[in-house]
Amino acid sequence: MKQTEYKVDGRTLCVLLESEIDHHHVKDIIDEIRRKGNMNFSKNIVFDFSKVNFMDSSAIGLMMEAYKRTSCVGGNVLVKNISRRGYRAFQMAGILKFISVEDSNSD
Amino acid sequence: MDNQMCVEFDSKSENEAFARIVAAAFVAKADPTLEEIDDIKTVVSEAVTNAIIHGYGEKGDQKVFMECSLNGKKIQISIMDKGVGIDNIEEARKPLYTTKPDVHRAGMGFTFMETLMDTLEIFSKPGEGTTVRMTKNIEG
Repeated sequence: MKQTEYKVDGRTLCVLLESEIDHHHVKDIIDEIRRKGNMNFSKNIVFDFSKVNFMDSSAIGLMMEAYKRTSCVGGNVLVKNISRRGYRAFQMAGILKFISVEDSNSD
Repeated sequence: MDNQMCVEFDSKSENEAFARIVAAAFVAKADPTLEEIDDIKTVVSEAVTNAIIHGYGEKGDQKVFMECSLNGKKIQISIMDKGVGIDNIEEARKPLYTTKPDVHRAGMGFTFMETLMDTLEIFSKPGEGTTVRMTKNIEG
């Protein structure tokens, strides 16, 4: 089973997400973001979606949680390599107002 | 009716993946596109997650039921729990409405089900449980 990988880069926590993002996986990912973020004074969180081949609305809950964590210390959430489908889901939920998206295949 | 199946499984979050893979395998006969398979997997994941965390409050020792049937190109999927039920269905259907922000719910489950499927019906009574029934025509 491929696991989500975490890398601390200064005050940025980089999260390379595993292939399936649902409620079951998001619980553990949020716990780990809390633990690593608290230990390392993380200000920004970068999510890399390049390995993700399934996500449901739990991914939106994950982004909202990351936004809550980063916004109170003046940081940002950045999303990389998200699929067109994932991008549309974020759009529908209205969360693109508070997270940034890079390298999206959204066109 | 061309084909029908029903499964019953524990209300454990690891079964969210099990349920959506079963539904995807069932619908494969109707020759869906990859996009349509993703639609089916997403809505099953949403409905089963709702049953587990809202219906049963994350108690893992209860049962969730899924029934799928295929009529030509039309798939019908029903997910049932015998949990707490929904007080106000209209409110629950609203985008971003959630009773559980503490467990990182975005309140988008029913919105996804509505958007990705052709029809969505919700039957629920407090104390008796909830059934969601969805249909979609597979264009292929």
